[in-house]
Amino acid sequence: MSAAASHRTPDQSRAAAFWYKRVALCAFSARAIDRRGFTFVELLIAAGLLTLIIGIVGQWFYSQRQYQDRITRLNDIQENLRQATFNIAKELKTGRQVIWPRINADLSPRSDTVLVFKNFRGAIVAYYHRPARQEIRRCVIPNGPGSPVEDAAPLGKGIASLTFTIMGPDNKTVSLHLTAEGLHHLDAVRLVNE
Amino acid sequence: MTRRTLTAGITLLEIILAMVILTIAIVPMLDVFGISGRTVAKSQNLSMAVGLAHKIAQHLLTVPYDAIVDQPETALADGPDDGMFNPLENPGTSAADALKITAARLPELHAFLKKYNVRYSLDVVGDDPKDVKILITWIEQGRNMLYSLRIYVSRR
Repeated sequence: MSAAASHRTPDQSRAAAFWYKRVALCAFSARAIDRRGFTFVELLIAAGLLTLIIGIVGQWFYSQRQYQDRITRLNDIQENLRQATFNIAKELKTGRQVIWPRINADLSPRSDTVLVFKNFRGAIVAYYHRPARQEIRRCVIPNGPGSPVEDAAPLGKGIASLTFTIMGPDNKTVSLHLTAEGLHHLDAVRLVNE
Repeated sequence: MTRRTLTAGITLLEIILAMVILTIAIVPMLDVFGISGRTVAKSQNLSMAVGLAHKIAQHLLTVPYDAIVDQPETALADGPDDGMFNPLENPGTSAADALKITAARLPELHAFLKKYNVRYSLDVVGDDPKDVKILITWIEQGRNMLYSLRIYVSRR
């Protein structure tokens, strides 16, 4: 305790304590003494800012959500394209002979949405695209009496277009061009069965 | 003066600071969406490249053995007549009807291949059998990408 403080009367000490507290409060939080909580203007501005931020973030989030949906869809389409190509190539590569399409008389390639070939068992098989259902179907024409039988399940789903192009002088290379919602898939199958 | 009075309320500055900190924290997390999108685009191009390489491999089985030689990088879009990609299709009955990968004949495919500058090349080593490396290259977000398929072709 300082010498000056030791000579104060009790009244002087109380007054000193009061002013000390008053000055300290002014220094640290003058506003807190004057106001309690938000003012109406602060609340309005905060609400406005919050709305603005939520609006921007919300719109961004929504567009990202749409983008994600599209990405997921593209992924599915890619899978459809790969699966359809695999299913076609699986049987076609062991086929004996392509019946339709045939290369043109001037040896230029020829394309069609239907492919007819003789498979390794000797049965005549047709692959064709159904644009309305966006499907690739397989149909077996028996090598003898009987009716053509279409498979219950499609070879490929979600395929917008399919083109078979026969290439090469021996009529044994089939080029595939599949599309789905702007995506393309190119491949080829060479018949290895002599 | 009570303690409750001293701590009551939040200033506007505090609210703005909190929002700024929140924004700084959230924005990098939102980038995750973009990353997954780019990954799918990559897989799309890779899937295309695998198909193209396989198509070339199948085509090499039809060309004469001596014609399988080194080939420099060749663009698929607006490319030369190579019998593989140009012409790509032919709905007609003569060579005049053949469709090449050009903006006029196959616009969607042309745009895709042009966008990524998809090219192919052949690197042939040895004589019998020939060791053929099929290279598919493309440019993705400024980076050179490559898919390589190696096959052996013997004299038939």
